[in-house]
Amino acid sequence: MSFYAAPIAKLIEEFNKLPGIGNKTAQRLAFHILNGSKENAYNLSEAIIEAKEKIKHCSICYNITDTDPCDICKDPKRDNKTLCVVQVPRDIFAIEKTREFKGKYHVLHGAISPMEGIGPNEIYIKELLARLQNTKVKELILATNPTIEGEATAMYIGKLVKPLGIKVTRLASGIPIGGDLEYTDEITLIKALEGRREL
Amino acid sequence: MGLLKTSGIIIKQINYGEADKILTIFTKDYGKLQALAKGARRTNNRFLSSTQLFCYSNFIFFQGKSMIYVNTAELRESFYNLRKDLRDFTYASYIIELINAALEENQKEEKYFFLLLHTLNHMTYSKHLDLDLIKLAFQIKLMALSGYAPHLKNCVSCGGEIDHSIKFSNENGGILCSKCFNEDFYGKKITREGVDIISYILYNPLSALSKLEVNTSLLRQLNNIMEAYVCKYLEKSFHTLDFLEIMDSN
Repeated sequence: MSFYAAPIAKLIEEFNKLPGIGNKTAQRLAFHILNGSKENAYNLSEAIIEAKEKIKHCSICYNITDTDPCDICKDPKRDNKTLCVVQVPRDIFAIEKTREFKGKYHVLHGAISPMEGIGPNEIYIKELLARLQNTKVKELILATNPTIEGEATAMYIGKLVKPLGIKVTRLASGIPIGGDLEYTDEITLIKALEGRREL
Repeated sequence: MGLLKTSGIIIKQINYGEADKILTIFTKDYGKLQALAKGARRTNNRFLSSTQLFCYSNFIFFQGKSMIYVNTAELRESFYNLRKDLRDFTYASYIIELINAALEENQKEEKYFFLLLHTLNHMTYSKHLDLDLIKLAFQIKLMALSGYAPHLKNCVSCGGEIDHSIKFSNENGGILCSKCFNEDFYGKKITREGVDIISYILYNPLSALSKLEVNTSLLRQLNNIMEAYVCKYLEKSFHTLDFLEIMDSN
């Protein structure tokens, strides 16, 4: 039995469904909204509905966007010859923050994971290959995560794309800036040695 | 429980919260256990490389209020090459999915542990061995350790000598002679050579696999038989098997 009036209990229940939010935090958030102004509550609910209704996948790169094609795909200043493949849309924001990359993106929305039943057909690999046919793309940067699933996905895509005559590159792995060589694990050190470059 | 010090292989991982991971680790001394690796997805985390799937690491755990936590993890072997090819990765995934299904939590199972470790070693470093042969051997040995070694010496039903026409019956857990051939409608035909290969694998260590020569079609047939046998006795179907089928059909 709930000690709260039904509308509050329902609000708490809904907050409780969000990731990382337990019952106590859900109660605090619900009461924060109740104690706040009506306008704030309306703004929040409108923002949620608007995001849910307007956000879709870009038909070219499959990034999340409110306009189709997305801002990056329709930007004429960006380089059409370099394409960066990422696992999730948030990875685009991470790369964009560097202000170094001026090419375009392709979002896979996942990585191949046989144990979870996620195969090449479950993520946007087919769409990537279709996009690479008859394009100006000269280099494909595989920026999937350096986890086992991400590496396997990168290798799989690499094998499919190389015969098309497109240069396929993988993001470098190595010692983080400010890191200590002594505390670096073997795999990272091996990758750092493999990827060493001339000064 | 206090501190637990052991070595183990990561057989499953689930992302949890912002940057944590819940790991299923098959440890040498405490069997299969679940542990939370705090912050294991952050790039500057000390667990980062030693808590990846398939990694064989030295661990120190401590018992929290409701969970076991990873305190230290030091990498011993990463089986890194498994991730370089989708086929290797899928076969290795099948192996750890099987071992995960075959084990109960917190039961020391040293024989299973070394079977897994040696199998992953062969998959990564014995490039002359066919992956299907390693997979077949793992399935047979896993079943034998679980108490379901198939009966191969004579007919599992009447005990008679096996002759020209034999069938492998999942239901009976072994082979049927020509007289008992119709006892299991769903049994699969198997050749004498096939039976000999399963026997050889059953009674010899994994290191003896290099002496075996099996043609591809027979290997495929034996794998089909053992896959069905494993699924029946572990009472589970496996995602990775469906995945392998898709890969083979492409």
